[in-house]
Amino acid sequence: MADLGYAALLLALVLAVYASVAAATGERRRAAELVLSARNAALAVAALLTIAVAIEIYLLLSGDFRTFYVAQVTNRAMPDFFKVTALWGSQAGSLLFWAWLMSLFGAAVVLGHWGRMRVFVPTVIVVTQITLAFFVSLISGVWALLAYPLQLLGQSTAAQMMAEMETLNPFYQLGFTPNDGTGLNPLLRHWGMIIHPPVLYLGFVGFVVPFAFAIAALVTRQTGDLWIRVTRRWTLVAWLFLSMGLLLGMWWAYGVLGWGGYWAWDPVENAALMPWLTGTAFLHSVMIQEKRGMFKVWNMALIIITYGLVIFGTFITRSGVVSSVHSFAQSGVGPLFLIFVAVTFIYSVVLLFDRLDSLRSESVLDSMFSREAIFLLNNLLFLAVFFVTFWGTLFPVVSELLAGQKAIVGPPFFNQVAGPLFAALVVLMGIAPLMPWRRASRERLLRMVVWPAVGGIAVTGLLLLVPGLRQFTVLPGTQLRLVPVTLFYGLLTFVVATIGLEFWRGVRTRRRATGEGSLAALVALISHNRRRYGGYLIHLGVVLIALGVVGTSFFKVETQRNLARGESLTIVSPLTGAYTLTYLSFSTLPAPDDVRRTGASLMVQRDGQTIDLIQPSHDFYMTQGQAMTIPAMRHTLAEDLYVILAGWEDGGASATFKAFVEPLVNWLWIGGLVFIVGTGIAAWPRRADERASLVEPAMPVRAAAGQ
Amino acid sequence: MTEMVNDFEVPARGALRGKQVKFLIGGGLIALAIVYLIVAATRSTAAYFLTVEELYAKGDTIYDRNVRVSGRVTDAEPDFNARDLILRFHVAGATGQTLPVLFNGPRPDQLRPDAEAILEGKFDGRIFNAQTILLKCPSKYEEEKGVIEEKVEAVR
Repeated sequence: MADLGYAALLLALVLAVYASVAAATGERRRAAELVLSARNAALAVAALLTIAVAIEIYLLLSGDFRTFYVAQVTNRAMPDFFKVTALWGSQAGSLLFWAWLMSLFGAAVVLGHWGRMRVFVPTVIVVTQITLAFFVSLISGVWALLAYPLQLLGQSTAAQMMAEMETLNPFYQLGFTPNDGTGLNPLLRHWGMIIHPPVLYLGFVGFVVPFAFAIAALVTRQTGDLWIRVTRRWTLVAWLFLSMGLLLGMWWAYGVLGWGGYWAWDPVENAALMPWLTGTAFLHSVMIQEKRGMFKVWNMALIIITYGLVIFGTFITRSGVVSSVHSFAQSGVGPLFLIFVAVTFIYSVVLLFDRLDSLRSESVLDSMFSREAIFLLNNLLFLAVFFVTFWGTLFPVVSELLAGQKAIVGPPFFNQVAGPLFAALVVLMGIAPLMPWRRASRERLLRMVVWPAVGGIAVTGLLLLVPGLRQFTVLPGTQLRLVPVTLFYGLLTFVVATIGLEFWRGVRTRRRATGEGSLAALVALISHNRRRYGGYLIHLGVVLIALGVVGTSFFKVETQRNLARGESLTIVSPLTGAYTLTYLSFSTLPAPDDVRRTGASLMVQRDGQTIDLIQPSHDFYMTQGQAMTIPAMRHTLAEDLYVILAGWEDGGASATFKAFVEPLVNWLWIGGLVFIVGTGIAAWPRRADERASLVEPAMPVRAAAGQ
Repeated sequence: MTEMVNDFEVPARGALRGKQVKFLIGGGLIALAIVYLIVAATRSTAAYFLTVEELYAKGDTIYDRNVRVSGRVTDAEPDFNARDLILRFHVAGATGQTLPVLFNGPRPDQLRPDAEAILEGKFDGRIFNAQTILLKCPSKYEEEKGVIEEKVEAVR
């Protein structure tokens, strides 16, 4: 069975290479049969990889421990559900999974655009199939063939690295059959971590599609906004998955890793954040190209960078080049990724330069007070945050290369630089929707800004003047007023007000025109302008997320104490007052999945009233010998009380607890949901829309191309 | 060569250039400000990542500055006062030179002889005051290349 899977994998590799060569040749020679053949090969690759994945899942479920990968990530005690998800539990499987998703996207794009936009299809096949061939090659064991020649050339380290790649094949057979497997890392047995990788991969893979069309546009010199219109929905869907992947990762870190935070600026997190940042810039700036025919080179550059970052991100998570809390193996995969990224990036840039003449802007920036100017600024800021993240992530590598001394920058660096930039982005988010295209008159701008500004100033004023609200603006445990934070609340109010006004104006106009009820008008308004109002919802989500970030960044308090049974500790929430936690009891019990669970019970009291009983615990996975801390949480809209059992002595006679109060943290997750719903609305397909936006502009271009 | 239809009138070249220059200068100033932010923050937050030997070699130049040190845990049974959460242990570099470590916080589960520790904190010339301890221990998981990690932070 494993042999069959491996055969499918090898055949997929051969066909992916064939498809890209055939499509490239077909494009150059205008040979329709070759392009058709390439298309069929691309479809076959998707079918073959589907077979390979199905066989891998079968092997995982049936416990075929002779297959190295199965022995690595599963064991007999694991429930079937985790056995299936073990497909992406480690390197070989997750690269197979990545490639499979890529092949499905590739097939869908080719089928979907075979009828329309066929001019782009050959190059799209080339780009997707080359990317695919690279990923499949990593796990096919073919690179191990280089080990011997490299050895002959005296490159023994390189030879060793290549030889090791033989075991990266998900169907690699051991010389014996182990009695049991190692099992999946317990940290990964959480549903947030189970769906996080596939969701993130969908985002990564999805960005290959707009990139492929961008390259196709350059190759065919169809450099209008056609490629952008064609890929708009693909881009939004990719971005949706990437955003969801990031949010799920944060949620998992918060709920499982037990350190009371959700974002550590870890290289692996940054690897997913960077393409999101450039992708977000891209999503905004393509709107300017659609409306005004500007920023063509810029958009090309953004999508090229985003694609490079997607591959680079997979490389960072898979190579261990930068030491990370969850870094992965050091093997030949790293250098190969780097070479692939470098080659595709250089090729794209050269192609872009070669086509500069056809990318001339059709209009110019008229005024600082125009939507395009604000979007440009937005792009600058997103790119700046990206650059900050890139610099900080690679700083250990750069400092070692340049100064010969490894040095690091930690979360304070990122917070210091990225924090103000993000705040500036929130400001722009409030202003941009008020700005008309081209140029705003001063009177119009003033009229638009006045109510939101009044709202923002009022909120800031209330926070400063009303004694009962003091705790929202004062650093916990001090009398220090956090001035920037106080102003930021006003800013958030301003943004919410502008969004609210947009909805209100839209509903009012519709009601006047159609006589609908308010709710009906609102629903109709959103469903007829999905992109616009979906976008506003996304912005609202961002505001809520920002609120959660402000709460947890500036008002979080923590305490740590060793308690004997019956003793208490007190933690004072800056927003809601003191919690008293009393250590009641301790127990160690066996739990399913070969776990020994140690738990402590704590009584939570407030003003002498018992309000909750919580049980932070500590799971020990006997087979793997790995411990895992399970925080206990009490959620409210104002804050979370988050408690960890950090250690114990003498069978629980005394135990160490770490308690956090995480103000406003749940607004982060609520904002995340709003954000996702908004993106879903913006990306929701509309047949009529598509026809209007795609076919019509397509006609003159195609006619021209045919001449 | 196809040109999309352009519904906007394009101003005369000269007028256009003056305006574009203004935007370029503005953008350039913003870029400069951001570069300045990055440089300043790098200077104030960058910390050396050293081995035990390198730490001693740096001498008093790094006293009371945040550094990151990696070494191998040597103690079979570290000295831990559970009541006050005071942990004392030693790490050694490749040549066997040892560094005494003081940590105020819970005892990490993975603190075992030969575990690789990455410590963040300050060195006063005699004792390393660790703020965080990251431990890497042998494990059976392939994806981390035989390593499981644990991170603990000091009481603030």
